[in-house]
Parts: sequence; structure tokens; C-alpha cells
Amino acid sequence: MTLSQPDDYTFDCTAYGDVGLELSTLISSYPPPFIYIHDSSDGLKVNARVITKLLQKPSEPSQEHGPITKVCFGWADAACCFTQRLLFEALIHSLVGHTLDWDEGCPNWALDNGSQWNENLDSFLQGLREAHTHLSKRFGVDSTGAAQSTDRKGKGKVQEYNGVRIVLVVARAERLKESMPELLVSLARLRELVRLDLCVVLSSEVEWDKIKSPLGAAPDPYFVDIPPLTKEDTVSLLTARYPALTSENPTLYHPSLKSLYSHFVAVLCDVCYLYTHDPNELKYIAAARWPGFVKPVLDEHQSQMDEEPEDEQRDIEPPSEDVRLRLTRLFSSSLSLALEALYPRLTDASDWAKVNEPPSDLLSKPPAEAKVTTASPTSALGTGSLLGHLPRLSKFILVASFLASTNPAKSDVRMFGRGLDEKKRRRRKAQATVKPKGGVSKVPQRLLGPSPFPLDRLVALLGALLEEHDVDSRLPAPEFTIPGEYTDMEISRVAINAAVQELSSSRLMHRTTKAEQIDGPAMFKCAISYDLAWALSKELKIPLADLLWEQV
Amino acid sequence: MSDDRTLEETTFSIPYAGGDDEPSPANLPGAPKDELGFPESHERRFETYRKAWSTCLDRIQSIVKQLLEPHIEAVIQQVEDDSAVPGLPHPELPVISISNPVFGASFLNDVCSRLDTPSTHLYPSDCVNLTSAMRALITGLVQDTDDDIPRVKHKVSERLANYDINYLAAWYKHYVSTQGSRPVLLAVLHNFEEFDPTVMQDVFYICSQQLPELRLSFILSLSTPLPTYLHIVYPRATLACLRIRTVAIPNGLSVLNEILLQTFFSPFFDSDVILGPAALEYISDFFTRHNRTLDSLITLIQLVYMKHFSVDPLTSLLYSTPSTPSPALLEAALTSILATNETAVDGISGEDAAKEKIIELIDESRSKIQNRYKSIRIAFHLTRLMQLFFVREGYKGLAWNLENDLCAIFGGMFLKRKEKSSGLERSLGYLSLILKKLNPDQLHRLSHEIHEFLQSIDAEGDENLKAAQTEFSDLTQGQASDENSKTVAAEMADWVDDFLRNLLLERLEDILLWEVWYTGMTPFPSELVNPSIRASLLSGLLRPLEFASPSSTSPNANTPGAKVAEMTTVVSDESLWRLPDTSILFRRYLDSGRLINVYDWFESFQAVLETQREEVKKERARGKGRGRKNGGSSSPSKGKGRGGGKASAAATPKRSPTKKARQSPTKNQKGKQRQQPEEGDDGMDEGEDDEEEEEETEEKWQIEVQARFIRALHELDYLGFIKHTKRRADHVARTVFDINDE
Repeated sequence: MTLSQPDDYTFDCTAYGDVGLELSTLISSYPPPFIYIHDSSDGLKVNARVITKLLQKPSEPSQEHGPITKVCFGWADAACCFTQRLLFEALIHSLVGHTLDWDEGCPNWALDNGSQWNENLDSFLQGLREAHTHLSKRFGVDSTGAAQSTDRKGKGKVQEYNGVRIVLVVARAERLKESMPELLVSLARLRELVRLDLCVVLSSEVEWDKIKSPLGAAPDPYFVDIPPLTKEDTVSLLTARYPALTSENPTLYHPSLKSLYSHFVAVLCDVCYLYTHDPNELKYIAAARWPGFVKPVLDEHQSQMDEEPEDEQRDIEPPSEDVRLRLTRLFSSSLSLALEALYPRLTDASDWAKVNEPPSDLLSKPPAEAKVTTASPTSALGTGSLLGHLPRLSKFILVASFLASTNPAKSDVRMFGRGLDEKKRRRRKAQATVKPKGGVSKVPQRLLGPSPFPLDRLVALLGALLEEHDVDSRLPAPEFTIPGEYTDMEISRVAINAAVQELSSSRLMHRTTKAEQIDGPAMFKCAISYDLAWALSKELKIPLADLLWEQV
Repeated sequence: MSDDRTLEETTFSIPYAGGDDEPSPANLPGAPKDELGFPESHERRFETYRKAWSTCLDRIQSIVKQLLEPHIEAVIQQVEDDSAVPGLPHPELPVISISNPVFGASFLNDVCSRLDTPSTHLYPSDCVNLTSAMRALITGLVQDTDDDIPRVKHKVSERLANYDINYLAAWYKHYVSTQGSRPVLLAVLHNFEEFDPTVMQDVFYICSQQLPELRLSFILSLSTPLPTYLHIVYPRATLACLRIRTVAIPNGLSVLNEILLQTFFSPFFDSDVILGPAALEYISDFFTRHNRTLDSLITLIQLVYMKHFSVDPLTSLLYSTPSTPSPALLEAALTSILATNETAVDGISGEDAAKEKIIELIDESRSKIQNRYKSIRIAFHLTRLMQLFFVREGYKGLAWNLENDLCAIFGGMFLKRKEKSSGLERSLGYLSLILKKLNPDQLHRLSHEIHEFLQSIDAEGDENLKAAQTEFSDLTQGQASDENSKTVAAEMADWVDDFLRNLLLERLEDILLWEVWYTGMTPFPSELVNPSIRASLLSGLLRPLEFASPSSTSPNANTPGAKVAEMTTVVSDESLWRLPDTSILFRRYLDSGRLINVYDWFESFQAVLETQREEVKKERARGKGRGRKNGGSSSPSKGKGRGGGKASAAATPKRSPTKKARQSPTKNQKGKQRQQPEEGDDGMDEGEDDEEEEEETEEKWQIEVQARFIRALHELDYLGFIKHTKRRADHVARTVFDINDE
């Protein structure tokens, strides 16, 4: 399958060029104790593996200048290692290259003395020292000597390395601030604490100032900033993947189509660069569109093969300039549509590619007929049948919750009060359009977001709505004789309360008070949009506009 | 309890002394009345109910299974689908979101049982934080296989934590090496909306970091039909890790209609109990308005069954008639027969002959009613078939809304054809009118459909139906040429009209003993599934005795107290002092204004209790003579309840048997509370009782009244009738007004 993916991260591209050089020089010569990589490149997603790979390459230099220091890496992703123990284990296991064996019961790495090193910081320091000793032994370094004086040469036998340097990389370091803030200072001062040749590299999309501990407890790091990618960098970054893609799928990413691909990527970046700079997103869109883009070329090649069956081994020829331009013209409009569908992940790349496959033999058709159509993604955020599954009364409850969250509580009597004379009702319409007079203009409630309301108010509004708009759909109930009695019974029924609970658990309403709190009424907030409320009220034949206090 | 209770003491302990509230099944309201004389009936009815209901339930379940089959296939296909476009920047975590508002967890269980991969089910309560979520996920998956425990055991701190994804990765590696394949690891998240998004965000991220080595896959069970929830709640960074696929499962009315069409409306399935229009309409209404889940639908149908069998003792005859029925059963059957047809058993003399005649009538009705029901269903299906055909061909047809009004339409078939409200007469006329206007091609297709339908019905034992089948075949064979199409259409229209009219000739209610098989217009017991909380609360407080006392129709004749009770129930006075404390307090509450002064309230309550005390004394004095007679039998029964000899001795004479039997459980509890103080100083001898009581100090009584008041007050407070106001000390505010008292 896609097992070659991780290799993809061995970025030899220009994007990391300067930074990579800087880092590897630092690490292989005299590293500062604490390096902070701030990745401002808008989603280049420097994960721990990338940095490790980045650093590993130059750290295997030739031995021209005699024994050098062996650099060993340990890395962890702070988002994955959400407890201190996981972080320690991830760092040390990757440092010593410990593999986990299920048959052995997944033991942690341990030396023979069986000491625990994952419990707290002290034991972790001890573990680091043990790991250092272990690594020194493995690489044939006299650890005691190497740690203190790197210039001491080996005695007698030829030593490959004169010391072991530990580099610990923690990616997504901003997560440390939430999950284990007390560890940040210790990590920053780890070299002082452990007294080994050690360097800690934290990497994050967030600046150090935002996550550093207060009162200056942590020393300032050596800052490395990854600059934002330029458009050219992005294009070359994407194009540079081609060999890796070829090894993944030799037909689709045929070597002779490489120039076409680089043009394709250039066009893609032209179209999409306005909206996203994230190379991963651009790769994603490229992956979705490329099969369709290259299909006419492959089709043509196939038909040529069919015509001349004796020429079986004929390879795909790089398409001509003319074909390239034609393809670009045909597909450029579909690129922005792909962005619209794929960037918010309304659909995924594989499905999109499948649905939007161009018709076969596109190139053989006359230009006027050849067209690439794109199926618009099923409007997942539309209101259409979104709530069609809800029972009728739940829909009423949602509309009531919308009204309760939008209208001020004081207006309820006027909006829903049903006096004996019709005068009152007429007045409320006039009242509803009154604009606030003078002074600071009030921000409409609709823009302020929903306001919380107690359950009682919701039920009361529901009663008003049911009485006005639901009477026709009820089953006959001769036992209720007083006007409004049916509604009165209806709104206090178990099913209504159950429906409120159900709706708040499916997040169509928010409960703002805690569930365990029984003192006082439960408070809720409406969680449906104006459009949705509008669609629902239309379905229920409720004139929503008349019931809103502030006209929209 | 100690004697030195004073007002300074803030807390009293009232130990539970066993007691009067042990359940006595015979007293349950709605108990079957057949104890009177149906020795075989009760058990038989239960057996019959069980048999009828399990037939129905099996049918429903098989329909549901059939309905869900394609969707299960779809989900399985999605799970196993591993294809992805080459060249993605990073592997995506497959997520299948299932909108499943109707069927609940059973659907997902089916999916999991079909898939031969390790799977685990996660619920919102498992995932309150990241550690617990990861632990639930990992241990769930590891334990799903046989190889769940590593062979070598280590101390917890010496091995990987079981919430570490690497633990799962190590296990998977091992699992793959032993199995030789790389199965998908499936995690099913139930009620996905209730999961904390911040936790799940991290879970998805962590799992996606392990791809593609660890083939994890998630199934999300959502209650909204589209994956919008994910797009609204989760950030784009999380969505970018996922490959979201959707499977929509049928929901809404179509499920209800499908189930009803294949059970109670289907000519191919004989339901033993015939649901009447009232029940069907309630079921449909509840499904549309309140709760669209399969579970609630099944519960509703089951309730109809239960009610049907619990109301009428004759329902034990549903399947068969016992060879030697009890006289009471026969009598009940006879009454029912005579109610429908007064001349049914005329001219029969002799007990045995009458008995045989009745049995014969019962058996006859049994087959007759099933035939009639079947004809109704055939008529309904035929009309529906034609209606669907007309709509397909672009006609309006009968203007039926088969989606929304299915139950009403079917219910209409139960009514008398001539009745206006059913509209059947007009519909039939209209049908034949449209039939006559069809062109030959349409006619041919329609007749083909009708022919197929008629042939598919099992006409065994029904001569009319057999005749109709051959008749229709003859009719359709003749219509080859175009010229006579007009006449053929007219003939067919006439035939359909006749056929339907014959099928709908008779009502089910015209058949003797119809109530054994048919629920008719019996209303659905809606208060059982959807009671109005407020109304039941108020009626409980206003008329507590009607709730708690055993139903007057089935007095517990065996206990001596009850006999006395029977005598006194005649004097069914609802005087205030007979009510439980909470009800007394509530009555006084109703009399007050918006704000209630608690001290006034207390005083009015105290006044009622004084009356109660006086009345109890009086009644006991009256019942003394009786008490002496009954004393031997009544004390042991109480003593058993009370659990202690001393307590029983103290308690028995205190209360008159009359009062005791009449009182509600709540009341009894209160009574007990009142008696507690006397236990200590009550003598063993009954005769000294009066003197002991007179010695009771006024102070103790005051304390008791206060305690009872506070208790009742708190109960009302707990029920939400009181709002504490800070505006005036000593006052509480009412929350409930305008109660229609009587």
C-alpha cells in the first residue's frame, strides 16, 4: 500500500534548505541546550519525524577528521503523548531504538537493574543517563570520558565516535502548555539537570512567548524560524514529489509525464494560491485532480496501442505543448471547484476523483464538444432534508427554542399573548417594527448570538405555537373541552421533556446548565441557524417573520 | 426512640419498622376481574398473549432485518474498501458516518457481527477525557480477540500504558503475524453527538498518526441524517485527517409504513390480534409527532396487545376453545354473543346443548373474523396497487396520501362502507371511473399487476377468493384486440367494483365475539407511554385515595380489615382529614393567595390534623367492639408487617382497622411516623391503651405536627410547587395557579 509514505518526509527540497543546514550544523558541532523551532509556514506541519529525518542526514559525516560525536535522536509528538509518562516513554524508546514486542508483554526499555524511569522527572533524568550509558556502550564510547571531555581519544583500539550526543525533539510543543505545564521549564533546562551532552528541540506553530512559563523560569531558547513558503517554493515542493509518486503508481505518474505534472502543479498553484498556501492541501487537491487531468493522455496512448498492437512496449510520450495547453484550458475551471469541495472536506479526494472523471477520449473530440463538467458536492451544509428525520413536535421545539433565544423575554406577552380582542394582536405587529430611538444603536440579537432561556419559557412558547399552528394535525380528543386544554396537557407530557433532552444531546440545542444541577430550571440555548429555523417554520406553516421581535 | 426529645434537637431518626407497604399484587389497580370465576382464564390469557405477541414481534424483526440488509452490506463494503487515490499527502483515517435515527444500536451490532475483524463499541461515557477514551479504544480492541493478554506479565509501570497507542500498534503487529492478514480494526462510536469534540479531535489525530501501519477505522453513529455535524463541530485540521463516507439509513415515516404494510395491512401475514383504527392511528400519530424510533414503535404495538388481553377475559379464546370451559367463561361468552345477536342461541334447551352451541359459535367466529380481516387487507392492497399504478401513470387517482395517511386510509376500511366518514363508497366509484378511461396498454399492464397480486394470495379454504382468481383470469384472457378495449375496460371496472364491494361488505363488529380478536375502537392507553406530568401530579395530590386504594371492584376479600373497609367505603367521604399530609397541605395551598405565610399555612394544617386526631379517636371508639371481634386475626397480619412483636402490640390498637385498610400507602407511612413516639411508652397490654394515649403530652403532639408539616412542605417543594422568595421573610410564593379543582 502506501508504506512508502514516511519516506516522503525526507525533505530534500528547498523549503527546508536553509533551516536544515542551520540545524544540522548546530547539532553536529556545538548545539545550544535548547532550540525552539517556530513554524510560521502556514501548515507545513513540521512533525517530529520530519525534524528527525532532517537532522539525521547530515549527522552521518565521513570520518575524515577522526572520531566524532555520535548524535542520537529521541522524538515525541506532544499531541500524541498526552501524559508525562507517555512523553518520557516515547522519548526514551525512540532514543534507544527500543522495539515493543507483544509476546514479551510490551515491556518498557530497561537496563538490568530494573529501575523505573517513567514515573517522574527525577527518574526520567536517571533514565536518560542510563540510556546515554547504553548508547555509549553500543557505539563503543567510553561514556564517562566522553561525556565530560569530548577531546579524549580512544585508548588502544580505534574508536569510531568519541561521544554520544542526545537530541530530543518534541513536536507540537504548544500542547505541553495544557497537558503538562510544569514540564516545560524542566525540558528547557534539561541539559543542566541531566549533565550530559544533550540538546532539546521544541517545535511548534505557536511562538515561544505564548507558551513559555511566566516569571522567566525557562531560559530563552535558540530560535529557529521557518519562513513562510513562497509560491515558487510550493511549486517546487510539489513537483519534487514526482519520483516518489512514480514509485507508488507507475502508470498514473509515468516518468515521461513529469513535465506535464510540473505544469499542472503550476496551474493548480496559480488557481488555489489565493485561498490556501498549505502545501498539504495543494497536494491533496493535486492528488484528486491529476487522475482526471492525465486521463485523456493515457486514453490516447491506449487507443494508439490498440491501433498498433504489435508495438506493445511503446512508452507514453510526453504530450506536446499543444495538448498541454488544451488540457490546461479544459481543466482549469474544475480546479477551483475542486478547491471548494475539497478544502472544507465536503467530500474526500478519492470520491471526488471518482465522481469527476472526465469522459473518455476527450482529446479526440472537437474542442467545442470537449468539456469537463464537475459534479457539485452534495450540499452537505444545506438545510434541505437536514432535519427531516425529526418528529413533528421536535421541530416545534426547535422553532420555539429559536424564538426564545432571539426574542427578549419581555416581548413574549406581546408577541404571543392572545387576548380576547384582536386589537392587542394588531398592535404587536406595529410594535415589532419599532426601531430603537437615538443613542447608541443596539446590536441586533441575531448578530449577538443566541441568548440562554429557561426550560419553562421554552415550554410556554411551545404551547403558544402549538395552540396556533398545530390544532389541525391532532387526533380528535373529545375529553378535552376547555379551549387550550389539549395544548396545556400536551406541553407537560413526558414526550416533550424527552424530546428536549434528545435535542440537546444531539446538539440541536445547547444546555447551558449542568445536567447534575437540579436546583433551579435548566437553561438552554438555541443551536440552529436562522436558515434552518426558517426552513422548519415554513414546513410547519409558522409565520416566523411575524413572531420575531426584531425584523430581519 | 428516646423519650427526651425536645425542640432543641434538630434531627430525629425514624427507623424503618417494616410495614404496611409491602406489595400486595391483588390490590394493583386494573387487576383482572377473573378471580371471581375464571379459574383457567388468567394463565391462559397470559399464554395466549405471549404466543400472539411473539408471532408479531418475530414478524416485525424479520421485516426490519430485511429493510436493513442492503444498508448493512453498504457499511461492510465501505469498511472493507481500502482504495485511495495515489499521491495523497498523508494517509487518511477512514470514518463512516451513519445517520441512524430510527434503529438505534442494533443496526451497528449487526454490522459488527458480520465483519470478521476486531471491533469495539465506545459510548460517550467512556470518553470523558483523552486518557479514558484511548484506554477504552485500545483495551476494547485488544480484548475483542482471543489473544488479549501478553504472555509475559509485567508490573504496570514496567510495560507500556494501556492508553498508549503504541501498545495497540505492538498488539496489531503481533496479531498480523499470527493471522497472516491485515484486518481493519473497527471502533464504533455510539451517539457520536454526545462525545466531547475536544477529546475526539485528539483521538482522531493520534490514530491518524499511526497510519498506515495500524489499520484503524471508525464508524460514527449520528442521529442527524447528514455528516454536517462533523463539519460544523470539528476543526478543519481534524477533518483533514479523516476520510469521511456516509451511509444513510431509512428513517421517518417510510419505516413505519413499511412495517405496518407488511404486518397488519398485509394479506400475506395473518396477525392473530387485529388492531383497530383507533390503535393504529394513535401509533402512527405518536410516531410522527413524538418519537421516531423502532423501539418506541414496538413498545406501542406491544401495549396494544397487552391491553387487549388484560381487558377482556374472553381473549383466552383467541387461539382455541378449551374442551371443558368453566361456566363463568361460557356465561361471559354468552353475554357477549347476545349483545351482538339476540337470537343466536334461541331454541336451544338443556345446559349441555347450550354449551356445545356456544363453543360452536366461538369456533365459527374465529374462522369468520380472520376471513373478513383478510378480505379487508386484500381490498386495501388491491386499491393501493391501483392507486400506485394511477399515480405512476400520471393520474391523481384517489388523492390519497399514502405516505402520511396510511393508517387513516386503512382504518377507513374497517368502517361501514355506507358510512359517509369512511368515504369508501365514493372512492370505489371513482376507481371504476378511472379504470374505464384507461387506454388498452395501461389496462393490460394494470390487469397483469392485479392478476399477479391475486395469484400470489393463498386462497386455501376460501371459495370466494378462488372463484375471483379464476374469474379475473378469464376476464383478462379475452382482451387481446384493440377494438373491444372499451368494453373490456368497462367489464374490468365492474368486476373490480363488485369484488371490492363484496370484500368490504361486512364490518368486523358484526361478527359474534369480535372483541376476542379485534381491538376495535378501544382507545390506546396513551397515558401509559406519554403521560402529562403536571396533570398526573395534580390529580395525585388532589385525589390521592383514588390512586392508592385498591380498586373498588376487587376488594381483597380475604383480609379481615378489608371487609370492614368495604363497609365503610360506602361512606365514601372525601373529607380533608382523610387525605395524606401532603394533600392536606396542598389543598390549603390552593386556597391561598400568591404569597403564602408559612405560619398561617402551618396553623391551617394543624387544624386539619386536630380534626384527624379527633376523628381517629371517634372511629376507634366505634370500631372497638368490632376490633375485639377481629382483634385476633388483624393483629397477626399487622405484626407480620411490622416485623417486631413490640411494635405490633403498640401499633395495632392505635389505629382502627377501618382506617388502616382505607388508607393509602403514603398515609400509612405518615401514620407510622406518628406512632413511633408511642412505641417506647406504650404498654404491652391492649387494655391500657386508652390511658396511655391520654397521657400523651400535648408537647409531643406539637412536635409531631411540626415534623409532619415540614415533611409535607418539603415534598411540595421538591415537586416544584413552592418558590422561595427573599422579598418577605416567612413567606413562600405559589408556582401553580388556576387549578380546576373538581
